[in-house]
Amino acid sequence: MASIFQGIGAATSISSSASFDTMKLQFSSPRSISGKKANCVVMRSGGAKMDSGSSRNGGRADQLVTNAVAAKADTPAASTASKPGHELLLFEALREGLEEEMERDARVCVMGEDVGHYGGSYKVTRGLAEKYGDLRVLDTPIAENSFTGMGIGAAMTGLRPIIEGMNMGFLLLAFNQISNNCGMLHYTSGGQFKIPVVIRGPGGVGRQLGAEHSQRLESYFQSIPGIQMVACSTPYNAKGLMKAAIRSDNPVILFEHVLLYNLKERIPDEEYVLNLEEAEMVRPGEHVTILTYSRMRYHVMQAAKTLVNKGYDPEVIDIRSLKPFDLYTIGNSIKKTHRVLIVEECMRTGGIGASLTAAITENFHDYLDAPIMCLSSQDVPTPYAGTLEEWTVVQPPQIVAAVEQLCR
Amino acid sequence: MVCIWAGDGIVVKGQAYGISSIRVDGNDALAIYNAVRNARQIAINEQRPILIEAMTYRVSHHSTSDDSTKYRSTDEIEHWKTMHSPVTRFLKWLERKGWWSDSEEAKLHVEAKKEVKQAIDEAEREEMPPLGDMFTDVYDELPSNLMEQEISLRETIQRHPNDFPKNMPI
Repeated sequence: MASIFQGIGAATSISSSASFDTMKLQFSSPRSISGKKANCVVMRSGGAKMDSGSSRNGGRADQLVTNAVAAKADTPAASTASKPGHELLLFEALREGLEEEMERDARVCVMGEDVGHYGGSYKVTRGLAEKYGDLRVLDTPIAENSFTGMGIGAAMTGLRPIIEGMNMGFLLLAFNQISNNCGMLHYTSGGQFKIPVVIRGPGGVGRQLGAEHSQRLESYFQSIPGIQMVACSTPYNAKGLMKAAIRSDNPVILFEHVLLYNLKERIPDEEYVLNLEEAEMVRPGEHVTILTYSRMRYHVMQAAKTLVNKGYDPEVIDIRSLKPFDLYTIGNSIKKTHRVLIVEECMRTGGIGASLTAAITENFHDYLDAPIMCLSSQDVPTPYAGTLEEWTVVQPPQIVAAVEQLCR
Repeated sequence: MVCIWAGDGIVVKGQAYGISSIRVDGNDALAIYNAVRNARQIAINEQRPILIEAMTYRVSHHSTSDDSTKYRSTDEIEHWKTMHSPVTRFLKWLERKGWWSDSEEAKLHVEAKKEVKQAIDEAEREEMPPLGDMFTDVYDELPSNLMEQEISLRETIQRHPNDFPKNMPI
C-alpha cells in the first residue's frame, strides 16, 4: 500500500497555477505532524514522487494526474492542457474505470447481484457481461455472505474480484466475511494470502428508501483491521479511485452514494489513477476547514456559496480516504485556518466524524482556536416519512450556522 | 421457466430439520385452506411445526424501481395473471356452484373502489408525522444522547424555518 508520508521541505516550484499540490507544499511545516510519521516524502501521484520540477502536462498515457478537476480549466499548467476530455455521468465513470482495469488485467472480474445480464442495478456494469462473458461478470444469487466469501476465496487463489453489494446495507449479511476473512486473512496467514478485492456499492440516505436501505456502513466497517475505505463523490474521483482500488493488493471498500450516480462531469481522456489515501482540496480558503465526503460535499459547497456571500472564506476538503485519514492534507489546512467543521451523513455516535474528531484532537490540538464541530445525522434509523428523512440529513443552512458559530 | 434450485425447492429442506412438510399449489385457494387447516390442527394437537411450501408466481415487478419485462416475457406474465390467478380461479369455482354472479362481482368492484378511495382521501387529510416521531421508538425511552439531538434539531428548525419543510407539525 502506498503509505502516506509527511512532506518535509520538498523543493517546490511555486507556479502561478491554481494547482493545489503546490499550495500544499507551500504550507507544509518541517515539524512533524505526529510523532509517528516523520522525515518522509509525500507520495502524491499514486506512487510517483513529487519532485520540484514536476510537470503536469498530460501527454503520456500513463502520466498520473491528480486534482485535474479541482483546478479550473483555464489555468495553463495544472490541467491536462490540450485535450478537453469527455463528459460522462458518475456511474459511467465507474464503468470506464472498471472496464479499463478488466482490459488491462485478465484476473480482474466482477461478481454480484444482477451485474451481468441485467447490467447492474445502477448500470455500473452495463455491457461488461456481453464483452467479457458470464463467468468474468458473474451473476450471483441473493446470498451476500456466500458470494462475498466466494470472492475472497477467489482473491486468495489469484483473481482480483470486484464484489458489488446492490446496496451497502446488504453487505451487513457478509460482515463475517468482510471482517474475519477479508480483513484478517493476510495477517493470520502470515502474509501467505493476499486479498486484493474491491467491495463496492451504493449507500447513504436516498429518497425514502427506508431505514434498512439508507445505511452508512462506513461507520460500521471502519474498525475492521486490514481494510482500506474510500468514498467517491465526483465522476473524476470515482474513476480514479476505482482504478486505484482494483490495483491495490489490499482489500478496499469503495463507498458510492445512491443519489450521486447521475452527476455529470468532464474527465480527462488520458488514463489516470488516484491515490487511495489522499484527500481532495475542493475549495481553498482561510477562515475555516470543512471536512466532508460523498454526498455531503455538495451540501457543503451549497453552504459555501452562502458563506462567501456573507463574507466568509471556507476551505472545503473532501477527505475521500475514510481509512486511513489523510492527516497530512487535513493537518496543513488546520494549521492555516485553526477551525474545523466536519460534515457527514453518518450518525453522531461512532461515525467517521467521531473518529476524525478524535484523530484531529490528538494530532492538531495546539492549532485549534475553537472546539471541533461535527454535524452528523441523529442516532435514529432513517425515517421513511419524507419530511422526517429530510430533517435527519445535515442541510446547508445548518452548515452555514455552524461556520458562523465557529468563526465568532 | 428456469428453476433456480439445483435441489427440489424448499419443501425438502424441512425434512432435513425434522419438520413435516407439504408442497401446495399456492394459486389454489381451496388447497391452501385445506393444507393450512390441517397443519394448524397438527401444530396445536401435537405441538410440532409444519412447513408449507406454497408454489406461486410473482406477477408484479419486484419493486417500484424494477422493470421485470427486462428479464421475462410479457406473454409469460399475462399467462400467469389470467390463467392461474388465484382470485379468478376461486371466482369461477364460486360461479359454477351458483354462489356468485357477474352482477354481484360488478357491484363488489364498485364498492371496494369507493372504500379504497375514501381511505386514501382520509389518509391524505391526516397530518404528517411530527418531529418527535423521529426519536420515539428507537428505544423504549429516550436516552440522553437522543434527547440532546432532538433539542438541537428543534433549535435548528426554529432558527431556520424557511429551510425545512413547511406545514410540518413540530
